[in-house]
Amino acid sequence: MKLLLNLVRKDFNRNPAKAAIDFNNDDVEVYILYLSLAEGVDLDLKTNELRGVLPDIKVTPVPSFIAQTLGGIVDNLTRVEAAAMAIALLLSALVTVMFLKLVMAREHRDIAMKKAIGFTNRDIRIQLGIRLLVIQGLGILIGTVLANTLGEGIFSLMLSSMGATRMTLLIQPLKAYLICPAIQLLVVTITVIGGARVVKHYHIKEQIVE
Amino acid sequence: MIKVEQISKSVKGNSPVANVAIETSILKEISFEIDRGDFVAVMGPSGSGKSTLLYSVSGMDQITAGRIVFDGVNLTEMNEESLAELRLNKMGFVFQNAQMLKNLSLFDNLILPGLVAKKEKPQVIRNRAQDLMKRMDIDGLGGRDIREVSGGQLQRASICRAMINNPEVLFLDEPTGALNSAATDQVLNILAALNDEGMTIMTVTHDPRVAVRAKKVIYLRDGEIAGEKELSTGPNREQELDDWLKCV
Ligand SMILES: Nc1ncnc2c1ncn2[C@@H]1O[C@H](COP(=O)(O)OP(=O)(O)O)[C@@H](O)[C@H]1O
Ligand SMILES: [Mg+2]
Repeated sequence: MKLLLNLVRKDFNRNPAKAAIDFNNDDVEVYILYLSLAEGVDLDLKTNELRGVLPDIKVTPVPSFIAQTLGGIVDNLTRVEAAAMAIALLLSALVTVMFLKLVMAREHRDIAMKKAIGFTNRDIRIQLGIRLLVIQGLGILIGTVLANTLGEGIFSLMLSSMGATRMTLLIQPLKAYLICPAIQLLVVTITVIGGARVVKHYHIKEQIVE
Repeated sequence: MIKVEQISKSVKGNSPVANVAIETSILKEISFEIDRGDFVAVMGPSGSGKSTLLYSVSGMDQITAGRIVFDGVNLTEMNEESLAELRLNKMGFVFQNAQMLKNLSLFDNLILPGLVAKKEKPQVIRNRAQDLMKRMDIDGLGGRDIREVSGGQLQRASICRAMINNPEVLFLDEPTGALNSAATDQVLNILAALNDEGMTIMTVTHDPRVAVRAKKVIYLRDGEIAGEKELSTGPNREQELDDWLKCV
């Protein structure tokens, strides 16, 4: 008990009022004290050390504490994240295909004419690809910024039904701004390359001759 | 220069009457030759296969039998990419409705095949485009949107585009089909002048005024050659063609 008090004093010394709590065993059932570790202190080692000196007190590192208390939500969130990722990628592919179809429908004559005057299928595919990638790339860029700014509000609104009243999205910059958009762009690229292959089956004469 | 040997084309489709697959013959064993410097006009009623023949000879439409030999190369054995290259560098095309890109200026449309070919410096291509436009009497229109010029001007511009890579042969499908008679005459004068300078021309037309400028007329009916006529150079050629068209 004494040691614990010392620890509290030490940690809460910016707020001396807290140190005056009455630690009377008869009054309370449980005290929960949070300890901040100094930079560079190994969590597991420290936990073990404290467990050694405080055999009667339950010492739990915060990550496993969170896992125990918020495990359900965390699991759900992980699943939601994976599902959101999969849906986002599918949507990117779908939007790309629809966009490609739109462009090709709108420009079938131009494409046929270009083939007629000597553009190779490759020339046309590259042109289509560049256009689509530029537009989709812009979309992904804007989407990424929006998701990382407005996303939090929308997400907490959605998750309020799961019992979490407030959500703070911790944005991992590398993942949010680089890896995710890169994967999305990759999916778009693959879709464009695959989708634009149909240019090959364009029948020049049918498109041009009225 | 171009040898068309026994080409046939048929397509599979559904019969409009019964729900059975039928094979329709569009071209039937057609043979003819186009010499260097020739001017061949293909005539015939609508639906007789004129366009199909033109597109087949230029390697844009697949045939089901026979061979087309262009400058000693068998087109029927070439893959699509080499055919595209051939069309880009050795063939020029003019369609009934000019077929230009709406988002480019007239001038940019003209030089486009030149830029795609990448054989010459852009400046060389631009200069040639300027020269061609002057010849076709449309210089000064280069900056215009393609919707801001008349049909005749647009068709002359598309001849410029067809000529931009110094092709060996010009293919035209009803080049005057959408033009009034004054514009038709201008286009015909240009074609005649180009042919005089040695350009090989194959054109599809239903207009005897176009055909009368040709050296050879092929008449198609139901996918078959119903007649072939070499036109004389004399002043009677118009009459000659008229008489022939009546009995063919
Ligand atoms: N790909 C195709 N499938 C089915 N029928 C076709 C096809 N291409 C052309 N045809 C038919 O072949 C005939 C000849 O067409 P076309 O060469 O365009 O005639 P023309 O130019 O002489 O008017 C027409 O009856 C047309 O409907
Ligand atoms: Mg036709």
